[in-house]
Amino acid sequence: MPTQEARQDGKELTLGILFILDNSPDPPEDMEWREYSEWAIAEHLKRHSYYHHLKGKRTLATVAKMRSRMLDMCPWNRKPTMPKPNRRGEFKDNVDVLFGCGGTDLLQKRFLENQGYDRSTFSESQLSKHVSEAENPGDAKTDGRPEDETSEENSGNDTVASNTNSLVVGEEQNRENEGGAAASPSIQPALPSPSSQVGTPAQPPDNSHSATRPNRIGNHETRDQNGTTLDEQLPPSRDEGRRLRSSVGPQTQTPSTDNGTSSVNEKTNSASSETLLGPQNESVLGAKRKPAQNHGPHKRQRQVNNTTHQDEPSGQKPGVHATTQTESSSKTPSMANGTNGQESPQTPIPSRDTHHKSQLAGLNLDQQGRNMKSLYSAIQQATDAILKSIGQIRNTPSPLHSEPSGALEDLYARCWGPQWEEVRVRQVGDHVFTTPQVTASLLSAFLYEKVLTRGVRLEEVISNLMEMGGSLGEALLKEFDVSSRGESDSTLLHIVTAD
Amino acid sequence: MIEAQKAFSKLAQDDDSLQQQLNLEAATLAKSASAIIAPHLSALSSSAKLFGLSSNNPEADTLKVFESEFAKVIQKTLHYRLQLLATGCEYAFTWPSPDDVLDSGSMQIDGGRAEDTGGQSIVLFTVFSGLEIKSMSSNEMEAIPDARAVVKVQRREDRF
Repeated sequence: MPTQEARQDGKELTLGILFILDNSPDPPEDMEWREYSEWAIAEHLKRHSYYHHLKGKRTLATVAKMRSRMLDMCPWNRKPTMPKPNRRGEFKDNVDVLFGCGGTDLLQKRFLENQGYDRSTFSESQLSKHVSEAENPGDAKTDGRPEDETSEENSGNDTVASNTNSLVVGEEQNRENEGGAAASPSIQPALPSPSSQVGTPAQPPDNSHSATRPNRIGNHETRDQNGTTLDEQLPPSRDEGRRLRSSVGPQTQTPSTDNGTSSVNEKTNSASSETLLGPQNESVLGAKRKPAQNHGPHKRQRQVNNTTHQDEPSGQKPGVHATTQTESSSKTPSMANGTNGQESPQTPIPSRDTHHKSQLAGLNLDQQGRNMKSLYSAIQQATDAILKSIGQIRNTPSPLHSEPSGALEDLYARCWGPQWEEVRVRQVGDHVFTTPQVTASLLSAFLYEKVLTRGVRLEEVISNLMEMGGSLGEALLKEFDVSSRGESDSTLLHIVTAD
Repeated sequence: MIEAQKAFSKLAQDDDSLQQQLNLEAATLAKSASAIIAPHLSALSSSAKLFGLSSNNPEADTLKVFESEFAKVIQKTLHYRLQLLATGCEYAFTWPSPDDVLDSGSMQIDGGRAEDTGGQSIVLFTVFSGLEIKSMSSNEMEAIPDARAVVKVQRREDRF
């Protein structure tokens, strides 16, 4: 039996499964998300031969259990309940897993929809806020914001004021639904505190919500859309008809500068200033959780915080390809070095801590920067070693192979564009591409294509870990210790038969 | 949860099966890369001989060195990706395309100096990818200053 610690670790590793789901191909448009989750899991199991090669431990029952466990991890298959902290103020619910340790963007979105939150404005602090408000109901009206902020916003915006009232009603209903369990006296959530969000449930649908996500990143790979542009994938009718309620507040008309943020914002160029809506603006139009009485497809309120968004080319990074990998979380301590965490769960984070969150982000960003530099340094060292093996040919023009294979041609195209052959001819005279640069670029391009962006390897690693057992695999499997359900089995049998 | 993240990272570091898996994946990828880039290395070797700089190493040895060195890089990258996953950040690796206009916010010049960026410069090619992480304040992807893509640039008027 794994230790309790191993089980807890296993819970974190369930993120691997979530990651797999998030990296599944786009669903057909006529497929509901619940169906999609099952389809994605089936596809995953099929890819890894769970269905076709029932050898060793891969009995049908094992497959059914695997599938059942994976399905059970899907937040949209869970009964929406608010997370409740334990005596130490720690959340043990999967919500914590989702938002604290890398739950994928897609799954967070689906979970938030089930919970009635607005994905675009949700902050993890809302969960703790919801609990803490039970102790201080008066705080619900200001929703954690400073009084002056609230009064200023309310005075200038009747919509916001009415929304505030609805917030109070919603909170009361939530408390009723939760049987008062939220009034735990020992709550010290290690989460960022409320970021002042007010819902807008009474507002009519507003199509302008589509402008809230500037397509700043040139996502060019299919899987990019899973994580970052999910809204754009959904048909507007479904998106709006089922769930969305939007409103536009006057505050959103004026982009504000975010003085309290990390250095990331400092270096952002002016062209993207329209995207830098400060947290105050977001907070004014932030979403509010709807009463949790309906466990079906919940309506959610949604903010529109950037009605003035323009699709200016200058507002985007020119041609920068990027692939969104994983998930947002409002607490992102620097764990990238695997050696330290900057916080302990017992340390309560002050309220109204947008600035504090920025500090956390700053720490995290610094660490990521160091890690990326380290990776680049590793590339350079590898390049030096390879070139040393070939001969000391530094600072000489590097030839490109005249007739590369398909894969090498792809790398050339990645590095030098589709007209790489012109470059090959020209660069001989210009001597602009030295051998180390070209070699490093090819290595980096391979890394980018095969390791950094695709996620295939991680998926395989996680899958293999589950199969191999070992402490990680065992913990992962134990965490999924959910008895097989008849419904799942029958569905599975149907899938197997269909295959 | 922070403790859980710590535990995850520690377990990931200490777990032999994970290390074996990562090493295996890294070796496989390095071998694949070697097969792909071998013609290019061969061209480099020929060029070195042309310049009289060849180390006279057999080509097979060069490929072994390549696989060994690149496997280390891939291992490191896989570790980093797992660690990124544990942070819970939403992130994106970036790869500026050739002919992109230089954006100093997300790109840094390979070995370049500040004056090199005078005027409008364009990307010739990218030497190493950059990283963006979603900002918690603006909810936008923001390039990390210390993790900008490393690019080779050329002044637009100097283009051939």
